[in-house]
Amino acid sequence: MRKFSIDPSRLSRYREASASAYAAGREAQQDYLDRHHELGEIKAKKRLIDQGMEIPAYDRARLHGEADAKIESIGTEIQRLSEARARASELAQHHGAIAAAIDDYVGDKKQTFAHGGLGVVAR
Amino acid sequence: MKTLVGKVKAAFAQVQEDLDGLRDRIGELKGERDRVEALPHDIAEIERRVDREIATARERRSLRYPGFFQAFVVDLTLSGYLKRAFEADQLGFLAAWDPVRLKSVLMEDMPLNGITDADRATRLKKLSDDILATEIAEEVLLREMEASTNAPIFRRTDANPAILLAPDTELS
Repeated sequence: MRKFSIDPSRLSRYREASASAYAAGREAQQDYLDRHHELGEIKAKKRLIDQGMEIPAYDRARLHGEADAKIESIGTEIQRLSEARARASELAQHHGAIAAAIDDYVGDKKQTFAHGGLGVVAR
Repeated sequence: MKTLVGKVKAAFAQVQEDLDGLRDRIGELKGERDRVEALPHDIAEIERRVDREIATARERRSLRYPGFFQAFVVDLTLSGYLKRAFEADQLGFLAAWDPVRLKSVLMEDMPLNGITDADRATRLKKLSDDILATEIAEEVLLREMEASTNAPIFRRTDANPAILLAPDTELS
């Protein structure tokens, strides 16, 4: 089997790509959860508006309408974030798989060096 | 300007086609490697294995009834002994009973499309060499594309890490 050296710049490129894809995935997940949390709060507020006896009827209708508009807008955003999260997750898996294979390979090479080497060179 | 854009597009389409061709070829070669790995042993090797198994089973001497040769009284009849011998070791019993017939029955249903270990090793070596050469060609093409577009291009998740990490000079 032909032996190859390791180009350190390529090693860091793949590791960085994986780390950054993972971070982007985490961020997308957090954005998605934040919006969900926000939606929950608005829905809770809307319930309070509906139950609030001291609010005049015309005000209640206005506040109710505002809450509905917000719910709709956040719902659309959540849909967009959900798609972004799926894309980010796919990307993270792709880069993660490559980085894992590379880590295995580099780990094997270290083993090889430890046992006297087989003509491979890590630069 | 329109002609230039058209030329660039055509060049990209050609490169993409080359890349797809290389990736298809890698997939085919890997499929062929899996197929060769899974091919059965050749019939001579199968026969050796069957012979070995029967010989080992015969060594257990399942039909050696002590009542025929021991001076003291054996408290088991021949019939009881045979029943016990069969229950304890069917293969040993059959091998002692009729090894030729047993072999013939075992060999009846064996595959005939097998290959020798040497043949398998030769074919796998050739396929591995072809896969390596094609993967190198793919990586060289990808690096050229990256150099000309200045944008990173995704690798296959099952790409060979040795090639992904190799310096340019070792891939030429």
